Amino acid sequence: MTDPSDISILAQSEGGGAALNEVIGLSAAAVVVTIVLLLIGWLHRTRKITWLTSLAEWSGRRFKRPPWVALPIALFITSIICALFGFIWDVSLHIGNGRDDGALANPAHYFILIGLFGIFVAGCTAIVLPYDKPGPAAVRITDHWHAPVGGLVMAGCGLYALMGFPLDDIWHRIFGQDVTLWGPTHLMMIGGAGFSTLAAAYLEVEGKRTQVSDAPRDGIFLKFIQYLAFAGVLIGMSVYQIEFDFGVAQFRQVFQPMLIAAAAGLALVAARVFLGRGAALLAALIAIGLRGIVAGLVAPVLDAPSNWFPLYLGTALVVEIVALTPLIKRPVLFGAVAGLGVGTVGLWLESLWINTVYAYPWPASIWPEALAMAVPVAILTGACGAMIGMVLSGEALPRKAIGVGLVALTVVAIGGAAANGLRYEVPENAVATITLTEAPSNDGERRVTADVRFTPADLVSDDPNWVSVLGWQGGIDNDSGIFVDHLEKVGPGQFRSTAPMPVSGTWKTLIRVHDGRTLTAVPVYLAGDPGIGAEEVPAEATMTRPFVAEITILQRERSPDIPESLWLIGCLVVLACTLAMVAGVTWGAGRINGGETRGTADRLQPSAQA
Amino acid sequence: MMEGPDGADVQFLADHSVWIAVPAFAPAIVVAGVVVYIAMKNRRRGDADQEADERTP
Repeated sequence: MTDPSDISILAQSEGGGAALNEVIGLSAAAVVVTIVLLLIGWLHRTRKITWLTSLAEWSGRRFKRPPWVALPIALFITSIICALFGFIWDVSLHIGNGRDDGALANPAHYFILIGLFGIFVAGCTAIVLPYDKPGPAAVRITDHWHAPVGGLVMAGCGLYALMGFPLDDIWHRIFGQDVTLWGPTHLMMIGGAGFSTLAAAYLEVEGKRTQVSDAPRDGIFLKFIQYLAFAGVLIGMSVYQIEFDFGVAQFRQVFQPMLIAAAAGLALVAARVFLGRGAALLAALIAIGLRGIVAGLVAPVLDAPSNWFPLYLGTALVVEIVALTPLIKRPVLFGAVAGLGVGTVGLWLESLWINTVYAYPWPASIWPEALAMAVPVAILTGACGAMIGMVLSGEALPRKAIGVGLVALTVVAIGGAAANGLRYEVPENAVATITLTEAPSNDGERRVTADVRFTPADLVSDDPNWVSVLGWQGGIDNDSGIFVDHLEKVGPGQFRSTAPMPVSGTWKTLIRVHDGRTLTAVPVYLAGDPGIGAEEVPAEATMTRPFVAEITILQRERSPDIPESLWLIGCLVVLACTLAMVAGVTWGAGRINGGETRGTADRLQPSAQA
Repeated sequence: MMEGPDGADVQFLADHSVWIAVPAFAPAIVVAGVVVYIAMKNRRRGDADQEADERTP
């Protein structure tokens, strides 16, 4: 248990003195930023300044779009790439180093904060800029001021992401720091950024609608930006998988195929419906390029732990092939069928890549449950992706009840799959007897190899998800602070390591066992952590330790003894914010579609499509 | 408040940390609030005008 005097040491040594400066500096910056934003908005709306109009018109000419589209989208692309880089770097720093010494002690946080704030500002720019009504779907602010839907949704997503900061702080204070990406408030920050990519697509379409038909055709660069947008949506929808990409997943492996199928269904189907033949493949290729650049910057250049990413080429190929059939004429049905293909054949093709490069390949035993989770989700996200594509290309959506029903059903399916994925079992009365052998070390760190016997011997089946050693938070300077070694099976319930593991310094080294529903671990060495009042768990030459829930080792920072009700309330608050964001994105799509097709409502028989 | 290594210090750090989080989103909330306020004010005035129009045929 944590005792108050321990915490006050933390307060003094890990941020007490510097915090006051940080608070004053940040508060001053916040006041200045607020005043500047409001002042520019007010001066622009009252036509007291012209530079904002000139700047927007210049970028409008440059990108052949209305000024209120060109400038915000340029700002948005810059911001979201900044946020993406900061996010990947931040995750890798946490894996290598553990928790932060303070909010500003981690350089990656600046990129995230500026990036997320930039998304919000980009949305606001689109809201404030237009003097004339920006398209038929625009929302009235005052009699002489209408805002584009894409701008409103973008600002909303930015706001949702930024809300994650204060909620995150409150969360950490109640529940302790959780060193995992899947903290509910962390999901808000990355989800807000991820879904804002759809808002950018909305804005682009609204801009296109207001242009006269003899506007100049897009050059190669502008075409590229359109495919880039869907690469952005694909990456945006893939942010939830990042723990798997780094090889430190703290949840059951069966989540990974489901998340890949969900992201592919939505983004690739939308790209194919909107941009036509080859768009799904091109979006996947551009996403590979973007993720590759960021991963290259973070790992080899900044020397932080490396990450892989799904290629989405297999899933894109499936979408393209299904689109060659006449199904493409009925987009929602096409999306569902393509989703089915993505969740089956597409996933199998992706598994070839995952099994080649990822730290934790998929065992054959994963497939029954993986398909049960991925197929319904992929069918529904495929249908939703098709509806997004229809909104963007100006086709009339199915009846409102069907459209909203499909989105709601998708949310329920993802919720159900996630609830199943979060269920795991910790074996009772199981122990591991670990015998360590000292290994030579060239950097002064203690390294050992282990011989491990499980009791009972049949603890794991013949085809477990993993029986491995994970060492992390060893410090970026020590082999990037991460170590993964799959144990070699030498007999029934007996395994041995294939490489010497680190058991000194700040490392946290454990043996992880994941077999179907079983997700458990045994600590080998855990560095002492006075900041949270945790004692060192030493690596002894021979030790017998019980299997425990992995979360108690991987997230020692979490406060124990928190009442269930408080946890439930916390989750419900985050859930409410998230549902509000999904509702906002859905509302935007419906509004744009309504504005477009209001005059031509009977052009199509909507019910025939669903 | 910084009298020594006791409970008060803990409170002090906690206070700090929420003040660090607030500047991260406060500008966004204020800007969004102002836009919503302007829109609400306009709508309320619009409704009032409409009612006034209806009352004076």
